[in-house]
Amino acid sequence: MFLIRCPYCGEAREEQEFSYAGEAFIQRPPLTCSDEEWGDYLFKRKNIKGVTTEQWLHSAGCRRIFVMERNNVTYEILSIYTFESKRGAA
Amino acid sequence: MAKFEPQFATALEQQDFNRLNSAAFKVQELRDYGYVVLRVDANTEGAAHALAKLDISVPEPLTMTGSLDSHLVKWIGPSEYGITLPLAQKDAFIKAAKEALQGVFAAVVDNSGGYSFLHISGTQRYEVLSKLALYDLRGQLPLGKVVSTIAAKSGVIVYRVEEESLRLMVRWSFAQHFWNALVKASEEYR
Ligand SMILES: [Zn+2]
Repeated sequence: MFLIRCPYCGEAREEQEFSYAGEAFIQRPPLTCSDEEWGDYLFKRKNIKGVTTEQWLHSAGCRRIFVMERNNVTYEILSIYTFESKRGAA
Repeated sequence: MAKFEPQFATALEQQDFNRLNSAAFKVQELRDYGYVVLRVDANTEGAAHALAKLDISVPEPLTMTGSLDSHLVKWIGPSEYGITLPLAQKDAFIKAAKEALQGVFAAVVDNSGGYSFLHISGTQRYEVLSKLALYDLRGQLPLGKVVSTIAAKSGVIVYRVEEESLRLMVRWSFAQHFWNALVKASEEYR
């Protein structure tokens, strides 16, 4: 159980309010891609032990998805940001 | 075929509210309010003009604007606002909102039947609710604040417009369960 600071609500909330929404920044391949590329896009995940970049959904709160970098061994949260701010930074 | 006769009902009207009617903990279900969901990004073209026309000022995160006498606009998420207003004014408001927002990328949806609206008061209200809610309602919900969170495993929207009470919205389909949870959690204060 941990507290997550939602970047939209601007407050730390209980983990129960959130749902995990998968690995972040998976690129959708073009329609001309091969079946294998499409299969990888749909099913293959990095499954990292250590620092991961994940999408989380504030499902019981503002219902927005944001990005969270965390260590899935120690449960330490390293950073949380919105997709908009990432786009702005790039 | 029988003519469809709509009936006005609330989620908890079958319940015996005398069971939750003490000085320590009192719950009432409010029948006279409607709930309209407004989805619009205030920065969208034409939105500012339309919102001004509707006398809506867009609230900051976790806050509210307006009042329950005309329309109380609650921040639910970025570009999503929950508007509680007197039931008698609801249809006219929706009509006016749809007209004002014509051509703007926005949505106005009547969700009045989707929720049970509860008014919770009593000296032990925070003691009871803290058994159910994840959020620190006593410490972190000052006047004018609204939070969307979980209580007794149900999604709830809790807000404060008065010093001595809380308002809570729970989905119709969860209302019976939430009621049972309130009855059980308040047992020791009856
Ligand atoms: Zn949030």
